Amino acid sequence: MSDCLLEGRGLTRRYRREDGRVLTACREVDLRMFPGETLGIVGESGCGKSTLMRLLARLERPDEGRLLFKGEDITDLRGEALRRHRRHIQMIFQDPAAAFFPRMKVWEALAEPLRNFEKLPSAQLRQRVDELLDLVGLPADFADRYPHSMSGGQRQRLGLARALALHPEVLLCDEATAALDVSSQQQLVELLVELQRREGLSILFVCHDLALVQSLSHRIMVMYLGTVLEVLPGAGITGRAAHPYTKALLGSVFSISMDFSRPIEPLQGEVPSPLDIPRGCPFHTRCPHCMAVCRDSRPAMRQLSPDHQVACHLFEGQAVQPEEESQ
Amino acid sequence: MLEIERLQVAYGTGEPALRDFSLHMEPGEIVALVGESGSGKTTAIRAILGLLPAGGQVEAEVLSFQGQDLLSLTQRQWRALRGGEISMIFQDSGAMLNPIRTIGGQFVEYIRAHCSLSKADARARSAQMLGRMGLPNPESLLSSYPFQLSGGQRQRVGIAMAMAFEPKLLLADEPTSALDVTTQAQIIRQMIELRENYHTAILLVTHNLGVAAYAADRILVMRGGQVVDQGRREELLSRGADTYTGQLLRAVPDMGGKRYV
Repeated sequence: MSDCLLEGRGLTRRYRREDGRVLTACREVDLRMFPGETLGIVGESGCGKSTLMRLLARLERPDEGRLLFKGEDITDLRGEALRRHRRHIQMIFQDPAAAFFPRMKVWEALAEPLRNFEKLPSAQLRQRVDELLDLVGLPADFADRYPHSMSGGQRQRLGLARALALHPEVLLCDEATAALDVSSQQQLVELLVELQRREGLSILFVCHDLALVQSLSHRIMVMYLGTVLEVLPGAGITGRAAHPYTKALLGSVFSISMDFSRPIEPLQGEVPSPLDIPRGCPFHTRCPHCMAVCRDSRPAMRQLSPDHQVACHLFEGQAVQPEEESQ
Repeated sequence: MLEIERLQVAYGTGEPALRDFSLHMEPGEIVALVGESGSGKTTAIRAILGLLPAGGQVEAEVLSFQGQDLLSLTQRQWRALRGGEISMIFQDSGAMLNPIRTIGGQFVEYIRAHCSLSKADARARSAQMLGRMGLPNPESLLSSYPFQLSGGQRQRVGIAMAMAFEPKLLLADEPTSALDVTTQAQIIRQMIELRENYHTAILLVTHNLGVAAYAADRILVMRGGQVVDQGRREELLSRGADTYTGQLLRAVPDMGGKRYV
């Protein structure tokens, strides 16, 4: 495979709360991102998706593990070096209404990253702003508007334009389509895919809509309680999913092409608290195939095929019979 | 049971937010209202229960529930109807709950506002309703504060309260939009069970076409304050790309559907 752009090795982030308890948001997460590739991350709320993204953006430092950008260790970058590095990794956010300073006009918002990183004469600055607006399909006369006068979909494209101002190599999308209607969502996704093809962007796409994630991701990473349970190709995820949790997630998706006569089988129960992660496999409390070994030891990530990894005792070499389904 | 003919809602003198909205619902029927934001779904559902923001002017040829004209109800009559025969659940039941009072305190108050039960009986009834919604340890839940519950749990508390008097009609405004897919599936399943167990009619507002198609007998598609298409699930899902419904359907990401990469 081509050269790895951004790599996380054993990323762990814990938060110590006021009452002294420790919340583990990310546990030994390994991930690799490649140019021109989209990595989708799915999981329920509180699974550590957003924390992981903040770690990758170096908005937070991991407590353990290393972060490498093009092979160079950036875990401990600080000060001017960190500031210089930031242009390579940019982010778009869930709520485009909150992502802009309300008193900055559109062109000022787009010019800000350029001012911070490139010394440009003002005529050229304005030209770059126009190019950026054009890039995301917004009319040039939007430059003198304020973000609040735009629709949600337009604002999200503006967010994308700002993120792309410095030609980043990595784009992190945190639930970037969650606040949008299906039609604006579709426009944004088509735009992202087109920009990726043209510029070789590496995209991390965090989203709770499984159907959307699989439609644009080359690879999908499934997270649960801060741990990665499965990494698999986005194409044919329905047929290839191996981990019981991935299957349960897929089984919970309502689709317009589903078999309506079959009752939906939701996963029972709730996610345990990240303050009190279960011993053994984090998913064992809700898993329909829970075995004795699952309660004691945490399964290691193992390779099912070259592009498919799963952390589950069911796939260990020795055959262990699943227990009776006792709940 | 629910009869609406040519309902119109306007704010001030501007364009009406809802025009020409007609709907007939039978007991035990599940109808979904779908459409993008600003299409008038929420306006329609709120107008039924007289819950529009100040300044909303409602006009209709017919707006009646079980033969009772909803346009001429007094405050007292509304109070008897809301939460009793008709109840509503919202997108975020957490916002409906008072953050500084326990779930139990609020649930008991709600029950006692509608019928003359003792506090102990009302609490027992609350616990029973929570249990029926599949919430574990109803007793300890009653002593909890809303912030101690997850979003899915709060939503179930909201539904349990809405179902306390076994309403004939449940209005659900985006009840699962803020929830994870797993919790959404649990809640939708429970809503369908309500119909089976209590013969409750449900008017479900959602932007999720998959949920609408799964849960509803009939679907109304709204756009710009009007119903632009309606029909049974099979009819709507087979609409061609030249119709608005068809375009909406094609914009929805679907498992095994269009892939971009």
